[in-house]
Amino acid sequence: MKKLSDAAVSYGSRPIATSLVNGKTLTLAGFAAAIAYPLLDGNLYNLQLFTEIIIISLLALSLNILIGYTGLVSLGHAAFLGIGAYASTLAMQHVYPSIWAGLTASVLSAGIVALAIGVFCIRLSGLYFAMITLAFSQAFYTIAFYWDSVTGGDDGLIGIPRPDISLFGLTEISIDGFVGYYYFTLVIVALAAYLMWRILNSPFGAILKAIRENPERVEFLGLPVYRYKLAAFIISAAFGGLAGGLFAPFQGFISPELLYWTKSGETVLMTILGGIHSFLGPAVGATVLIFLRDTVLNYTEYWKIIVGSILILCVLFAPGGIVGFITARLSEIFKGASK
Amino acid sequence: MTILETRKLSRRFGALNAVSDVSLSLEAGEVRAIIGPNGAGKTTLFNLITGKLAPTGGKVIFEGADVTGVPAHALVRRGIGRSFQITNIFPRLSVFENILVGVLAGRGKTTNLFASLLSFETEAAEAREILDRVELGAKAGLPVSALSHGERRNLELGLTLALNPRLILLDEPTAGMSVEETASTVALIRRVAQSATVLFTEHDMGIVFSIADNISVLHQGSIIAEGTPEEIKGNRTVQVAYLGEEA
Repeated sequence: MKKLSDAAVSYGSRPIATSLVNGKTLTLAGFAAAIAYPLLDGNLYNLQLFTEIIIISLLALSLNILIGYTGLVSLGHAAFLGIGAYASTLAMQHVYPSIWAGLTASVLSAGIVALAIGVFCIRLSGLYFAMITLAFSQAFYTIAFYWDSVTGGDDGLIGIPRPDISLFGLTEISIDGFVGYYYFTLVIVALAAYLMWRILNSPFGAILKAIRENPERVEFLGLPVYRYKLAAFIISAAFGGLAGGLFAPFQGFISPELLYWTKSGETVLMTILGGIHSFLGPAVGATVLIFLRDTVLNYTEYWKIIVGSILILCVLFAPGGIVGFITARLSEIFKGASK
Repeated sequence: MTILETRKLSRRFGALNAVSDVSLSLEAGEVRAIIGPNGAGKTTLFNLITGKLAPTGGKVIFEGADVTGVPAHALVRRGIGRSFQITNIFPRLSVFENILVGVLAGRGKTTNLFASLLSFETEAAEAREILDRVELGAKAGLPVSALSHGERRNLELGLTLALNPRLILLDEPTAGMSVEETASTVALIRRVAQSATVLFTEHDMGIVFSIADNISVLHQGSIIAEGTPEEIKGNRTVQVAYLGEEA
């Protein structure tokens, strides 16, 4: 009898401790492939494309803390990508020429801005939350566009460095080249993703899911829902800011476009396309969307029509996103096999 | 010892006096029923006591302290638990996860950002124990959608118990249940009442008379009678106002 309930419980706690898509194995295999990739394919164009995919995956994963876990759909997440990018650039160009200074500035500034605007945004939910985040992000876009002396206005900022990394003063590692920056990005994003995964599978993460399901009941568990949502908003923004901090040196220049609402919309699309109910779903969505854009652009400049059509099909026939669709098919196959 | 007291508690909605001048006093360990026809103000009264609504007049005293205006989540921390009229749980978490979330909240573990959920063995054990108490031990791993209506009500009660409240408010705990489910829930409430004070509303008079130590009758927002089940059964005012048609 005891064994039975134990078995039930260990099964029961699985959904909260969300396995990485289909478990650790698949994730580690993907990570190993990402490490081996530059050795197998010397094509620098592809390497750059993958670097972008990795950075934007981080952005989509961070947005999913709000959408998939807390149940808040933000339409202004690109603001934090932009804030992170500008903060890291300004920090490296004017304060201290180190990538660590840049990344720290990007995380802190995004987190602080999220705290300041979150106080207002978090009071709202549903459509109103979506609208106020959109409004705030457009306000930041406008600031970036017109504050010439700091942000460079419409032209943006150029000449963003990729300073060498010093490892405890022992040796210097260059991340200036394509391969170097690819690996640097991969390591930082992997660490950030692991940290996010830990947070989402902690008691705090469980409460975020409970808030998504039923905020009123969480209030009657004795918890201040507002503060938990605000914390989720800040954490999500900080990781979004980190993506910006990685993106600026990657592209070498930045412009207000990074903060524009279409960029936020694109991030929401990636997240939904990949699947909001699995941790790595949004990263899969980012990969597919960026690949599609890149491939279709070879044939026509109207790539958005093709991508849009695919998205419509996906929403109609795979509402759980790509990962949700695959997981469902796989579990059908395994059920069939066990019969 | 008095655990809960309301002094001239009132709530107006525009011109409507949903609750007016309600003064109640509950002894620790007591099981008190609040009865009254639909619209008598029972749910509003519960919302006032649990901090979900602010009163327009009067006071709520819990364990000797004035808690009027204290927000709902803080009252839960002080020991007031509540179960809802409409089943109020986390639909897409498993049965076990529902209770685990409650236990973690009750023990103040939810600000932990980095520890794995699987490492909280004491809390998991307590969650299992609560599931056994509400007779859902065998269903721990199931999604909530696989539970019957009665089982969901029990799960909700379990979620309330997970916080170890000293005062429990139950809003129509047997609403919509089958005869068997009702019987098991009544037995469960009796067990719960051994370790906590219970304040509940209920339409089924059979249940009220069989569990309650005392009954308060609410009519149009005011208490019109109070006493033991026998006293209430024989009370003329109550018969006219409430039991009227049946008596």
